[in-house]
Amino acid sequence: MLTLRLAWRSFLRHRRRSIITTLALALGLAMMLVVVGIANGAHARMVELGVRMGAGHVVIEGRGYREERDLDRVVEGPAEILAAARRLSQVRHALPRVTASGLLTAGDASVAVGLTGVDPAIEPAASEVASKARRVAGDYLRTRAQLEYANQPADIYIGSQLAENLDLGLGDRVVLTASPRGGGKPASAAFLVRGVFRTGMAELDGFSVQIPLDEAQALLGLGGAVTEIALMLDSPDQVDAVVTAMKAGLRGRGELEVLPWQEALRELYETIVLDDAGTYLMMVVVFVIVGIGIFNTVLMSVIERTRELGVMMAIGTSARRLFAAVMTEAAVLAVIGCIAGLAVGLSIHSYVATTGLDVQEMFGNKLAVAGVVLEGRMYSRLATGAIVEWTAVIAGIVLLSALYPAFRVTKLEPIEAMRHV
Amino acid sequence: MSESVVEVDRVSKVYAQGSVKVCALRGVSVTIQKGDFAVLAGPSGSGKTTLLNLIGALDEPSEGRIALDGVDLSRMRSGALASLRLHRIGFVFQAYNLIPVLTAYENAEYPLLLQGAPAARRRERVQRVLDAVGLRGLEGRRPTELSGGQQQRVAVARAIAAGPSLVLADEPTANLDSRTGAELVDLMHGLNREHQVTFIFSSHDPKVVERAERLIRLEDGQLVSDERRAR
Repeated sequence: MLTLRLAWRSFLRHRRRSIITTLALALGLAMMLVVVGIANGAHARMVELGVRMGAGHVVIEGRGYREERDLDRVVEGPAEILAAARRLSQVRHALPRVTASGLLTAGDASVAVGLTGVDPAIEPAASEVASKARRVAGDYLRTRAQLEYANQPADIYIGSQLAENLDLGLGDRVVLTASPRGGGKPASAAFLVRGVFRTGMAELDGFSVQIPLDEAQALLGLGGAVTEIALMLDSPDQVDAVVTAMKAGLRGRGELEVLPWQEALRELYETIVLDDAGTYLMMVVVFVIVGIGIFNTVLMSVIERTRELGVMMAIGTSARRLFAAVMTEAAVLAVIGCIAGLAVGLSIHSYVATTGLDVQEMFGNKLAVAGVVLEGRMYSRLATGAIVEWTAVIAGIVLLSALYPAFRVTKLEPIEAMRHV
Repeated sequence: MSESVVEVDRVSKVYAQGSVKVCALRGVSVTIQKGDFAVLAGPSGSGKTTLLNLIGALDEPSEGRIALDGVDLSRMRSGALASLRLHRIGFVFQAYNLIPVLTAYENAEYPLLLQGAPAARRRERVQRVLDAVGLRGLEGRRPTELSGGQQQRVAVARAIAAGPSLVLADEPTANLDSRTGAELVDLMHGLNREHQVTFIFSSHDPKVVERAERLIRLEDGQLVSDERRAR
């Protein structure tokens, strides 16, 4: 109690200096919470968009298909796997897909495209590309059973830039050519443009098409096989659990692999890791500045009070108690600074978490990161654990910075210290 | 036969000032009895403060031995010496040396808090010593809000609050005017008589020296006389 009283009075003794130090501490913590919160929010948004634009949170595919694009490495008997996946409580959507390369021809013009065969019944609810929000013209794909005439060309859903490049409109006829499984002569099929999408991602808008799953399987000679099963989960936090469950379920099917989004979207994942590293580096700089500030304040305070500390020792204060007194002073700084930092940081975080930041307003344009276009609003995200951790880190730095000045006090000789002016 | 509180046995103290060695005390021996009101007198540089610091366990002799209540100080570690200063010795310094962030009451209470005395005992004791030094009504003032004489009274209150067997005062009146200085000596004298607190203080103020019941004169680090006077 005595130690705390002395620490508090010492804090008040040089109010201006204490307030400036506390402010630096508070701003350091606040900045850290805001920056980390926004970075987390941006990353979460990037993952969400990346996952919904393509791969899914978890992908099940033939081992090596991603590298080789060899149609012999496909997922045979997908129905059983889809059923197993849908039994998992975390799985919101299980999407069978066929992905391959092809050539889209319209009149005299041809463009190499990435084609995706999808299930038209379930894709719009799960995928960003197929969603109504991304559709700029027409409708989404229909199954063959839904067509007006049984023998009419199937639907094709194309990117807006591709439509513009090939001068295509709704109902126009195009031919899609691709190499079927096992090699041999390229196979072709005609399609009618059913709808046009725009994602803002050049790769998708300019070079991507979707066709019904069974049409893709027929064109590529896959029978009932698919090249991947994409799983959309309720939360990215469930990825590990689902990967583990699916791997366990697929034991004995060594030709298949289960990939989390971090592997399926490696470029995006590495960008996030690199960005996190940049954020942490910046934080280290903030920590060092805060640490030096605290070190300077506590050391100054100790040097200024050398005489007073000498008197305290002379009248019987033990070195241990003086050490505790200096550390308690630092703790008072840490507590006040952290409370102020949490108040400011969490207020800003709370605002950005609810209102969001307009990406276009901030950057003047859409922001593309690792092929994912960040658009709309970005929201701050901070887990309670992260708040506690960062606060503890700042408090720890304060206490660490005070260690040397406190240790120095224990080495004072009362007589020498009392001569100090 | 009265009980000895301090035994100084052939004590010397040599300081090194750069390459020059300065001998502050040379083979001083003296015994202070319980209840003594002793003044160390002598000109500046005679070794008064050095002897007080050695008796107060604030410094170590280069030679010789000092015992407090029969305990040899040279055998004690720094932690034990701090505890000894806390429980057995009260200090009054020339420059008051109060803790500036604490009030008069809190300064007097400080040694009792260090001792871990219960709140009720602290309250009773601090109020008693503040009354004794005439500071009733000024308990809540910080040192900067008190005059020099009042500050030195707080220092005396702090020195006696924890009930030490010995109070050491180094030139306690040096920074005070004559009247205030005389009042402070009266105060210490009163405490010595009423509470049997042993006082050793240094001074070269003739008015203080003439009040001494035991006058120990030092010159050039040597004890030149030790006379007892009638009360």
